[in-house]
Amino acid sequence: MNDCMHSRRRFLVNSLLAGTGIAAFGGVSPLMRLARAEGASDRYYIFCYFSGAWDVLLSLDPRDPSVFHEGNISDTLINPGYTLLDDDGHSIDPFVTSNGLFVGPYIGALANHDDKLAIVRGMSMETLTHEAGRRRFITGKPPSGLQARGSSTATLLASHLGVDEVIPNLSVRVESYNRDQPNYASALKVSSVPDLVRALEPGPSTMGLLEARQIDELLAQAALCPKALNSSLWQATEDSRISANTMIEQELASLFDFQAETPEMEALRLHYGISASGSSTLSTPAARAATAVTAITQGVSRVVSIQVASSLDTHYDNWTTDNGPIQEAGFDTVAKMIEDLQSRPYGDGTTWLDHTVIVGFSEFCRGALVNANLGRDHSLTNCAFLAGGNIRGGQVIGASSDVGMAPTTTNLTTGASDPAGEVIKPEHIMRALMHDAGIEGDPADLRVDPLMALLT
Amino acid sequence: MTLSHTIRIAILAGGLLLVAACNSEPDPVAPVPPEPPAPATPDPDPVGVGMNPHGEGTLLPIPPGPDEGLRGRRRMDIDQLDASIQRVTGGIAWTEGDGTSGDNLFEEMSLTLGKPDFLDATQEDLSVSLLFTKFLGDAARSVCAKLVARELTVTAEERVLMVMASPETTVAQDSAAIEANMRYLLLRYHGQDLAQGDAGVTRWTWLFESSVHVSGDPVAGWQTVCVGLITHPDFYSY
Repeated sequence: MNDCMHSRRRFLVNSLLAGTGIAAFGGVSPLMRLARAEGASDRYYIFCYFSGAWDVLLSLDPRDPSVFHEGNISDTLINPGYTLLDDDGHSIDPFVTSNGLFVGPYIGALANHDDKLAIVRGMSMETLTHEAGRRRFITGKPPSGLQARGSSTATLLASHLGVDEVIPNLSVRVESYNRDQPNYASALKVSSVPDLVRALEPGPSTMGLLEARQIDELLAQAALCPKALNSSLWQATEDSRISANTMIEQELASLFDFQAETPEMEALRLHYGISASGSSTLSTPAARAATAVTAITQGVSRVVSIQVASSLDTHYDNWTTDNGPIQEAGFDTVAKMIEDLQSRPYGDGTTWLDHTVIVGFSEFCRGALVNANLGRDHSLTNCAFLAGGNIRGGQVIGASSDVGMAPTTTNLTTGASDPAGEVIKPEHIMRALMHDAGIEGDPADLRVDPLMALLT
Repeated sequence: MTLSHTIRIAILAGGLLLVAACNSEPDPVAPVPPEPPAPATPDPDPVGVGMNPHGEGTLLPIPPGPDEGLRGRRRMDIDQLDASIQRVTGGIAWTEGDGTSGDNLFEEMSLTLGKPDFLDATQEDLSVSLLFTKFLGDAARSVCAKLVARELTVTAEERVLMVMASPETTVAQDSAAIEANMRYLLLRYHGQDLAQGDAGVTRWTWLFESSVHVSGDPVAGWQTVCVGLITHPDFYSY
């Protein structure tokens, strides 16, 4: 069955590559979709990680500086600190978007897509440690010390939905865990786009095809020996060997050759701001974003995780100069992905954005007060944003408190603050994603209800 | 009979041989799991109701499971793998260049291969992932090509791959030399000291022979064996 699908997909991929003029920026992608198994949920995911802990006062959860200011810090325990920023001409005022979302000055081009945007505020991370917060969000479970417990939500989604993708779960500079899901759902983790291309290309051609097949035959037979059958590592090895061969046979590397001199790649470079030459441009968030959208829309992956911002851990006066612009660059990158997905027809009158959920997250947010070093320390509170797919846009769910920006309780169905509600945690969001994907029950054992307010 | 037909038959015959070899060999590494002791039938209340509020249960440990005593295999980390490849090949590393200079690709791709950077990751990923398998194959092909090229330029005493058999020797000419070299390589690459005629050697001899059959060149056969030995789990796991 799988062989058949691979052959069919390969045929379609090759058709795509052979096509002229309409390949990468939209036209042929519905063909690729047809290569997928019928009956699977038409839902895809891009997880966007802002590494280092974002300052949400500058973006997703601002405060009105006329209400929260240095004169009442002792009462509010919140210092927006907008006037402390080294703004370099950038506006430092929070504003209301056209759809009524109150956002911070460094929300960037994401504000242009506020109608698609759901912001979750006042979420509790229950940790002040970067690794723990990151793994908490990725898995929806509190780590044991620093050790992640359970599989990543990306892995679980890939396990349930991505059985027929070549690389169901792709991760570029984001951790991923597979504790209890099939091997095919494990993330293919790369640190850069060039490494991904190298992985997709055939190896050095120093040996004939037949010799390579003979080695494969020997390794396959060795995997049937008793000591191999008794070893989970050996069996995983065998799965990986077969998957690697399949992956290379698909000849997918050219899909990610963003510096190729083709009209499609030129358009992609122009949209994401990728240079036509030089290797450093391929290690940027922009290149990762292009990778994510390409992998999803060209039928390579079901779930992609990318790091869109880093170096946000601004405990010192680098907060005044760096945190806002770094976040803004990340939001701009996400906005470009939204625009790209929206420009690509899915084939049934909808666009790829209608089928792709984008999740933006960080390990936690920075504290509400500015410290003595003109920086911000860690906070237990956090935000997240989601867009696309079945996400109900143009809304804010939950709220942080007006004293110290602590997590507060929220009605999971309406998204409104509610003393009788629950404190939102990452697992509420993960449960909503699984519910939306049609995954019954609670296979990840998250033991919370889904945050249904996220969904239309 | 066409060449491809011959090759198919050779591979098929070899495959059957491999199955036979696997099935007939005594398994030297994995001991047969010990028979689990018969589950003890717990005595529900051996001494009747006592005064101890925590119960009167036995203090004996729970009987071991059937797999207990067998150690799970573990993958080498990237530094160990890099060092091992250089050791068995006599100093050839996975590089873009000739193997002795140029950037070490294990280092260049260390993050992708799961080495911790102690910023985003603090623990090495030791899973045998698709990516690990793919890049190990690339590394093996690269270093083995360089190794056989070097072997042809050095003296017989300096060789580390074709030690017991000359680069021209085929099975038909001197099967004992081929087997001796194979046993030497299995000891060098996998740490397996196999006896003459051991079935564990046969499968590798098949690989050499069938590769020579395809390429017509014993050197290419040793190169294929080199790649097979490095990509075999006995090389990178323990």
